[in-house]
Amino acid sequence: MLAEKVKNSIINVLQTLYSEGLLQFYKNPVIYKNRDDVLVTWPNHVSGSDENTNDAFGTLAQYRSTLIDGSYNAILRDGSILKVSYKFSRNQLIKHSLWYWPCPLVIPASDMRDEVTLDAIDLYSTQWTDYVRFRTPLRFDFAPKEATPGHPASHIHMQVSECRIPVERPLGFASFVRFIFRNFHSQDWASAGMWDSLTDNLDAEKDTCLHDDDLFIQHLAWKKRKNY
Amino acid sequence: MPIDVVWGRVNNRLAATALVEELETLNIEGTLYLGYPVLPQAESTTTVEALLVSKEPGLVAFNFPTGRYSLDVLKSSQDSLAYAIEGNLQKHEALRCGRKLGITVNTISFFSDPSLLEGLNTEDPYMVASQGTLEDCLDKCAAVPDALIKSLSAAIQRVIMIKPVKRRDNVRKSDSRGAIIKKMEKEIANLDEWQRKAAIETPEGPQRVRGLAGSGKTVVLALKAAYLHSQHPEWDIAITFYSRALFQQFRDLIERFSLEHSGDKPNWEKIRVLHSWGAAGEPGIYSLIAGALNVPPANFGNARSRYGREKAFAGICGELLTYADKTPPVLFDAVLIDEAQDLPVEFLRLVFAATRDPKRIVWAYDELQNLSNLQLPSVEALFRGQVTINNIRNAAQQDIILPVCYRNTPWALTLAHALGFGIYRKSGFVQLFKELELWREIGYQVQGGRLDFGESVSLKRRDDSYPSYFTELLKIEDTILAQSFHSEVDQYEFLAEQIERNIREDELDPDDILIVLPNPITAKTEFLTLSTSLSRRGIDSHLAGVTSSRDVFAIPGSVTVSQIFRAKGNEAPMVYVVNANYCTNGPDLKSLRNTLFTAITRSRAWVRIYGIGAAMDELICEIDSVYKTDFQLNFKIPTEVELISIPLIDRDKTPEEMADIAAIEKQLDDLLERIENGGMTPSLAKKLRRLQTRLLDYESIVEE
Repeated sequence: MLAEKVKNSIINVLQTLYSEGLLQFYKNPVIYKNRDDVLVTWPNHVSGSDENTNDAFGTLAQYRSTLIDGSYNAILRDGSILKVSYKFSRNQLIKHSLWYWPCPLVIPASDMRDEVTLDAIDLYSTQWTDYVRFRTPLRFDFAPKEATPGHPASHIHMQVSECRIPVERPLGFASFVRFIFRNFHSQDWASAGMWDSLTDNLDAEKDTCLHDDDLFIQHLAWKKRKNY
Repeated sequence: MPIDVVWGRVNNRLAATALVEELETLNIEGTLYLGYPVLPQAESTTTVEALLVSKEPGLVAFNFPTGRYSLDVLKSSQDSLAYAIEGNLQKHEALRCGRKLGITVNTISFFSDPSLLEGLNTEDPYMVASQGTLEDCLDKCAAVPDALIKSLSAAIQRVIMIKPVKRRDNVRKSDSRGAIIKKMEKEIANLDEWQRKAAIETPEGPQRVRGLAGSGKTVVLALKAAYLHSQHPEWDIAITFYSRALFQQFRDLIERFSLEHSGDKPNWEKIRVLHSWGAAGEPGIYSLIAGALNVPPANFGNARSRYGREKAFAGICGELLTYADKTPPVLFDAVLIDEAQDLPVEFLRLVFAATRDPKRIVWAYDELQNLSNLQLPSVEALFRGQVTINNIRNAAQQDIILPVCYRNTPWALTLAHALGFGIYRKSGFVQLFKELELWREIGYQVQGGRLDFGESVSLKRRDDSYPSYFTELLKIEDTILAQSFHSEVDQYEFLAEQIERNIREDELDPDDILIVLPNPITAKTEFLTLSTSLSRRGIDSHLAGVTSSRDVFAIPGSVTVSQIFRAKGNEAPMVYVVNANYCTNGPDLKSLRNTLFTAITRSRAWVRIYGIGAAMDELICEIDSVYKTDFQLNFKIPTEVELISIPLIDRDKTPEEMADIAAIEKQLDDLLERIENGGMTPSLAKKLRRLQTRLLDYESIVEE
């Protein structure tokens, strides 16, 4: 079953990142089944909860509630969060939502290590003017059924929830992780050597899903390597 | 049994003392409450000056008139007294007989000055008495029917639900673990006589409340705060503590007790629940005092950068103390401090400075939470000689011990002490009390031998040091189990099987189960492997306080896994200590054994100790010895000279200090290697000779 394969590849990537010392902590994805649909997602996933609504996109409250509820897959060393969910129907990928939540505060590494993440955040929030960094969360969404002109099947949200930059195809977890580390955690990217060995089990990643209209506006596109 | 007297707020001390003496002379059995309870009425509250609860002469309410009054005045005051008490008791179904109250409320006006009684003609049922004439009055009192005495005591003792008991609707069997815990939780909800007494007794000055963890100190302080508030609504009262998680608990308890006592919600302006430090936007005792002294309060980041993590709070309290000593910022009429063992001495001194005379400071602390008998300095040292505490006859007690430990079974506690001290360890003790009397204070009695240096002794938990429901509800052989495994995963798989059974068959909830990981450094990684075994069986688990707040411990529907430091102050009915072999031997053995002690004492009913390899087998031998001796601690107490060679309990080293020592040892190894490879230089030789002198000094001290 594809869902099971994807879940296992996520676990493998998480274990690899953890053993390389790139994560503070991780949580294995869980599987929820509902008739024909299978959801592979972060633990404690409450769909449609307040934190997931568009108004909350990018708020500190959203970041905090993710920590409090434990609804994430990985906490990076600097407190940034990764959380992903993939939905399948009849063994086909029908949806995904891949979050990267950069830590809203830049906190000295030793405190991030010694303190409970949320406590460190709350501690440094008291002097937020010195520590806060205005960084947007990113969310790669894939939802072909909801695709319309102006709402590409695969897109990335940043800054505001209405932002939908077209993206060529859905992303497997390994591709997503490589994208995040290469662009936003360049020191880790340079020091760890295992990036090429991370693999996905997501066949859907082969095909482009850009609509012709999307090709005329700025979008993210890339060539796929085999097994990469 | 002589009469038990509970000293609350006493207005007429002369009369109260005379009454106590008279009741003692008459050999009355029962409890006499002075200045308690406060009975809520529609508009006002009534304090009963003295209330005698006994089978015979019965339930007797006293008032203490101080002048010459007409009978009509006395009658009217006795009527309202009886009416208030009856109204209160009628709420209790168990005390009703048909539609009426099954108990007679007798009333007596008791005069300390017999001359005030002259010429006063009484009529039944109104009674007046003084010393010498009380017996006749008591003879006329209506006794309490046998069937009602227990319910009456319970009603008077204000049988209060201390915390909302879990509903446990899933419990269907009558003898499952879930059913047992349900019964235990019902029992714990009632206050015991020591807790009640501790809560009400209010001396004119400081008071110390001690007890093992789980003896009910938090409840006692909350009840005391509510009681003081209802007695003195104009007082500024503060209640403070170390763990932030206690904030809500105190608010809830005080509100509940206030409603019971005075029928009214507390006035939160006058009774304040305050964290010791205070956080952003949330005042604490420290920040209030700083404000009163016009000194900017330091936040954690600032304090830590100047004093280090461990000493941060002590450091800034010390700074403030220099100002407070010069101009004491009197802010409070009474301050109640919980978890004083976790707060720096400087903080207690600040509180002292900020409290009005006669310094009504009540501080409660855990006796020996870390097996350390140096938890807090002596009272004299604590308050720089400005405070002494004495228990005086016929007065509210200043030094209170809560002797009953509700959290742990006597067996788990004995085991925790045996392993913590290394009583049955082949290579000898790990640590021991220097003051032998402490054994008695923490609830042991001498079964055989003598509690003296150089003597053999046999110690056992005293029967009254634990509630009787432990023996009634639990099977001793099931309370503690230990097992050794070949590999870590073997261990986790077995653990997960047991937990699956706990949830599916034993009717425990996932949040009734706590898994303790003794090694804080590897805990995260261990958790990730362990949780695989649990999730294979569909059991959710979480590692407490890793990413969410450290205040969140248990989560409904999830098994709690915790590294040892996070587990402190928390408890669960079923505790699994895994990888316990980590604590058998090793450098800094004392802290390893303290870890075992803490882990085992998290359990409210059952504890399972698992580990791997030879070290675990060794630990199991120690555990078996406790079983074989029928939960006694049998050992020869070293002589005072021998004791010196045992690392007598002192404070634990911080992880930073441990790391420092490890680093220095590594450097020494490097140095030795270098010298052995011909790296000696004249200047090095000079330094080494200095080192040798220090070494000889040290050895001669140890020998002495």
